[in-house]
Amino acid sequence: MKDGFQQLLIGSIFIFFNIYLVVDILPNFLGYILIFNGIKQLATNTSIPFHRLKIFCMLMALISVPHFFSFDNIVDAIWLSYYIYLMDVLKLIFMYMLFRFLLQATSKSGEVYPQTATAKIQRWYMIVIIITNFFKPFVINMVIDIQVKTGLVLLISNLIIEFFFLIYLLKMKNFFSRRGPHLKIKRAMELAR
Amino acid sequence: MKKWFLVAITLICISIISNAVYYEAKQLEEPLVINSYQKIRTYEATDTSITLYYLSNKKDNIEIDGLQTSKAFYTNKHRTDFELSYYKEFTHHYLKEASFDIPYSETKHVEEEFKNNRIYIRFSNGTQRVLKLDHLSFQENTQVFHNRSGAGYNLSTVYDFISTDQDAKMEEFHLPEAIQDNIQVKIKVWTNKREQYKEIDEVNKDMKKLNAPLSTELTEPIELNAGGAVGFYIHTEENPTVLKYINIFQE
Repeated sequence: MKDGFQQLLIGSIFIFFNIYLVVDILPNFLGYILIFNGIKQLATNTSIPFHRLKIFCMLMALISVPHFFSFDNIVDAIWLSYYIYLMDVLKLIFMYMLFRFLLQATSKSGEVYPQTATAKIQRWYMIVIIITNFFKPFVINMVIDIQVKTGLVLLISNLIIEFFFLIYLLKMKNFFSRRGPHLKIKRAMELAR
Repeated sequence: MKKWFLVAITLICISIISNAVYYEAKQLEEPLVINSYQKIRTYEATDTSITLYYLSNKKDNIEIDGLQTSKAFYTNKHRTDFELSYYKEFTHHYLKEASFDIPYSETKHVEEEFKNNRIYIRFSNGTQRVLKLDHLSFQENTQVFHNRSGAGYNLSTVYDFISTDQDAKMEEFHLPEAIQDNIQVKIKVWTNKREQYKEIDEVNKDMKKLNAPLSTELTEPIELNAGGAVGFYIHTEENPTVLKYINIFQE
């Protein structure tokens, strides 16, 4: 499970950081591919079905390809103006499905700490992201002074919760790397029964 | 998917769609030139300036290139390709300023073209439109009064002072009918400059603080002694669709 969470962590770092030097040097679509690999590993270890999540992950990788290029040149096209909102909604749905999968995976591990940590981060992540996604579209129609402040608050909230999600993945990876051998023995004993 | 999540997604989608619709509804199809009443004083051998204000969508950033008549093209002095320039920023629009220098010898031609609807505003996106204003005319400088000064504060209050070195009488003050909506003028007379500047400091920008009658309340001509001054405080609605800049003329 350690490897699974490691792939999830690296993939999430690719999605979190957008550093443009002509193109994004940490492409989002690559991040989703790494996340897909992480899910696959976790699913293999825990025998949880992940067909729907797999398809959605690939869809996210495909849709995030335009993100690879700098937005300044392409955002003028009218239908691409709302691309950011579409991505936000799809990402929210994807994270919901991912959290449900992680809850199942951590419960299968039999350890209490991963289950409580996953439930906790899922709750806060959903609350913050749903609220920011709901209020973000209002920003374009706000009076100038309020627009800047609101936009800043929403941006910072988003960054903080995404950062906490990365911390969670790191903790899970470290937890399972320490507990890994014990879990393998436990799994072998379950299979033997 | 759980019910609460479906409700959340639905609310987010409603938020996106409704804000997008509202945003698009606020967009102007083309830049909106603010109407004005312009009676401009001309001075021999110097250029005269026509100033227009217009609203354009923030996302489009269309500017006025210039004014086109049948004989000449007058470039907008504020036109720039290098950086965004605007007079005031609103939620969805920029209020921009356009100024055009008209040579003294061509003012009559421009006035004639305006009367015949032959002045076109050319925009940076290649479109053009007939210039429509309440009034545009030029008047030779025949002023008797001297030492004029004036200023404006954040688009809403303008004042104009006229002082004189000799005794004078202001028989009448009137606003043209076309600009009487949303305009209030207070008229104040001072006997000397010291008195004038002291009160200006006290009144500062607040039209309501000025102890002076409205122009509509005057019943008698205003007498001015040599060294005195008369001040015109002009208050307009701070609303871009009724923005009016006014100049005082002595006839």
